[in-house]
Amino acid sequence: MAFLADYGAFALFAILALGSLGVPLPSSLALLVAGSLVARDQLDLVSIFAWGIAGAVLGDQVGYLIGRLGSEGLAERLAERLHMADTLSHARTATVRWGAISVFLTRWLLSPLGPGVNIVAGMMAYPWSRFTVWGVFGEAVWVFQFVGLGILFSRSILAVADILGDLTWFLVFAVVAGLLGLKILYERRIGSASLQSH
Amino acid sequence: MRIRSNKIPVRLANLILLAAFVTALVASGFFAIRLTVHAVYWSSHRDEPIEPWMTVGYVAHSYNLEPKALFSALDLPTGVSDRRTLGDIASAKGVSFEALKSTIEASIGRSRQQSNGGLSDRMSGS
Repeated sequence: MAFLADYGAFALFAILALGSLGVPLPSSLALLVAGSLVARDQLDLVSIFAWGIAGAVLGDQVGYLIGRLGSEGLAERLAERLHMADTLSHARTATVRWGAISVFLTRWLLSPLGPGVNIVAGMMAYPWSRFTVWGVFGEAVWVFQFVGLGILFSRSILAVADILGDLTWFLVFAVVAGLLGLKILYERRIGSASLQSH
Repeated sequence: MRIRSNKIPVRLANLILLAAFVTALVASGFFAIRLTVHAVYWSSHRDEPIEPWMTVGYVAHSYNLEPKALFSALDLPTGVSDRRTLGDIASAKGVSFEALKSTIEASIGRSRQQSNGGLSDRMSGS
């Protein structure tokens, strides 16, 4: 936080870039602090938005590139060896189908999942243009949301940070539990039918 | 051929699925409770602990005070804009940060007693 007060918008850029790559930094707290520093007239609002969004998007892009370049052909080779070509193509279809909403929501609402989604999107060769558009859009929502809250609650950002952190993790696990629950119900329903057909 | 190789993994996969589901459910419950506890805790504690990176204006804002009162408590000019951090102010004055911090806290305590007759003390004690 001292770093942020001293170096301002550029510090925010660095923190968000590393944070959206998956380095465990308190990015959301940094945005709240930035917001409260704006409220106290110590930082400039426009440069906070510009540098913040730029940093977060840069981190996302690097994550996507790592996934895409680092796994060149890896998915295919693994799938072939494990006889899971069908599974891979299902995964690819699902990525294309659910990619936009996943990328968007994991920028701000389910932000702890963001870095993982970047790498998976790259590995699954999710179209880069769509990844970028939804990524920028989502990061903008995130930066606006947290800087805005930082300005509004500038007197008690530590409280807001705690509460938002809990809320975010609650949402992450609730969404995961919900998806797994649906999956279980689905398996149960088709379970007997598929056993007979085997 | 496939049936034999698939049957056990399917059962195992279902078990893993169920375990993951229960884990996620427990974790979300944990954070729901933590959220409630923090919301209750923070609704009665607003004042942030004073740290070297904060400016005088920041502290005044956090404790809902006029910056002027704090500046004068630190023997600093009140009319001008001073954005130095408390750490910088302490080293410029040649005192330790801890000493500066206790001066500020004493000043905050005095202002509070004058303005709301110890209301905030009672609140933070609860």
